[in-house]
Amino acid sequence: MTRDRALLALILLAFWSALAYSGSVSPLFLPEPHAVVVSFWRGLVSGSILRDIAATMARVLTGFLLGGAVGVTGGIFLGYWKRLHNASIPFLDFLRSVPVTAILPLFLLAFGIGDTAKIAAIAWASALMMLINTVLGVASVPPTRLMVAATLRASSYQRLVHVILPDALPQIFIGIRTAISFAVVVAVVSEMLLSTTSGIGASIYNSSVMYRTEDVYVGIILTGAIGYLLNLATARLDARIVHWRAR
Amino acid sequence: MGGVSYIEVADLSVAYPDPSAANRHLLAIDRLSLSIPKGAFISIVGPNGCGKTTLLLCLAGILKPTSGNVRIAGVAPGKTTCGYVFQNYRESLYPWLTVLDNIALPLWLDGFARAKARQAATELMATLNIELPVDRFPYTLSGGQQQLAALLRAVIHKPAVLLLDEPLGSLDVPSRADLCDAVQRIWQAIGATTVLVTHDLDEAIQVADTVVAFTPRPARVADTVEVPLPRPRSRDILHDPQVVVWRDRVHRAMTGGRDS
Ligand SMILES: Nc1ncnc2c1ncn2[C@@H]1O[C@H](COP(=O)(O)OP(=O)(O)OP(=O)(O)O)[C@@H](O)[C@H]1O
Ligand SMILES: [Mg+2]
Repeated sequence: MTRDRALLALILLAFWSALAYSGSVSPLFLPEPHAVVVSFWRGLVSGSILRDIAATMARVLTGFLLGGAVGVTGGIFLGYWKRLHNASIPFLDFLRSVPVTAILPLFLLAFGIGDTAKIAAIAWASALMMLINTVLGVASVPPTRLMVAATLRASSYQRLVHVILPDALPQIFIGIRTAISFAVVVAVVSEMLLSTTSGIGASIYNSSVMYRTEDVYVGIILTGAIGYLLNLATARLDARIVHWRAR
Repeated sequence: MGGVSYIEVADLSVAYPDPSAANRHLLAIDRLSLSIPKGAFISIVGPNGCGKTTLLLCLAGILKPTSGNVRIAGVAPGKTTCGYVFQNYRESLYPWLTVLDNIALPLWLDGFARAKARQAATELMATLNIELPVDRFPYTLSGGQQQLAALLRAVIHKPAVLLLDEPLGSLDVPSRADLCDAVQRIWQAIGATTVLVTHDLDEAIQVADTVVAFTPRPARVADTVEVPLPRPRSRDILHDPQVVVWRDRVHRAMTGGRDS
């Protein structure tokens, strides 16, 4: 498995090298691999890469945590209030279909070009994902599990804490995994669109307008790596905490 | 059924919305009356889908009757402590809790500290001489072990009313016999008024003071057979000629007089 992956990576790298070094693709679109490595190294040494990663991650995590808290709370609320939930389904589907990039200008108008607008956009996207998944989890607790609590005369608080939330946890985790991947996307896009000096998105944007394609590639690879690692981490956490998924 | 009535079911009817036709209803129980003395053990037998689970849900206060009345110790069901083994035992155990925590859950919800509740669970198993892999999660257990855990959870808080919906269905024959004994011992130890639903006529007769046979849906009482035999009873009583007669009678009542 690991060997196959390494092999595939080598093949892709060879393909890239062949295209770039043969000169069949302009370095403006596809820089030579060693140029990207050099550019990456320079960024590391100067500290600009770490600064960008830190800036982007800070936005991702702040936005995700704020939005996640709102989304889970709202999801529990909607999960209990079936009537409101049923009424809100088309609206939630509508909101989910609106790309966050389309409403970025609204955040810009509301919060200016500072960090707040970006974090608000990330929080918005995360809240929506978490809300939709939490409602789903809370509303689909198997009846027998609720009946067990009822026969034991559990209070509404006990029902929530001992049955409904644990039972919704697998679905909440699906929300976490979707939301955090999405948060990275929104962070990078908003860093590109709302003029910024820090963050991976800003670095990609600024490099592109100066035709420093190898720096654009560094940014792309960093974004992919962050998304990949976050997904891996949440998947691990999920497997450890929600050991009963689909049981 | 002699004695002062503890569980009183009067003219109970339950209708479900008919899943195949909107605005139509499906009568599961039809004007059923039943009176169970305090501390009694009754078995209910009846054909599939006749309304046995529906009755237990009403006794637990989970399902509201369409008409008629259920009273336990003179008050509405749901006010008395209750232990319930659900027919769907697999879904009833919480997969996020270990087997031990599942068994301890009722005490835990009653406000006992978690450690205390666990200790009580361990003690209960020791008293009943039951062994289970308590540190594992329920979904890793066999069906029979899960039923055992569900049974222990239903009795750990010494409920006043014990409702058992096919609690031994997934057990092999030897475990079934063991558990049948365990159920009787538990019942004698905690004195709960017990209603057992089962498809096994032998089991129904072996453990109960009274066997009630239901008609096909909608459930009504087809026949009531008293089993005045001394306890504890082993499976040997099943060879008793009297028991054979009772068994036949229950069987005939269930099938509506037809000989199968
Ligand atoms: N939620 C429901 N909605 C509609 N119909 C239902 C519902 N629950 C049960 N019924 C119907 O009511 C009747 C009685 O169901 P119940 O579960 O009480 O039967 P039972 O005697 O326990 O059967 P079994 O021996 O198979 O467990 C059945 O015909 C069933 O299809
Ligand atoms: Mg049933």
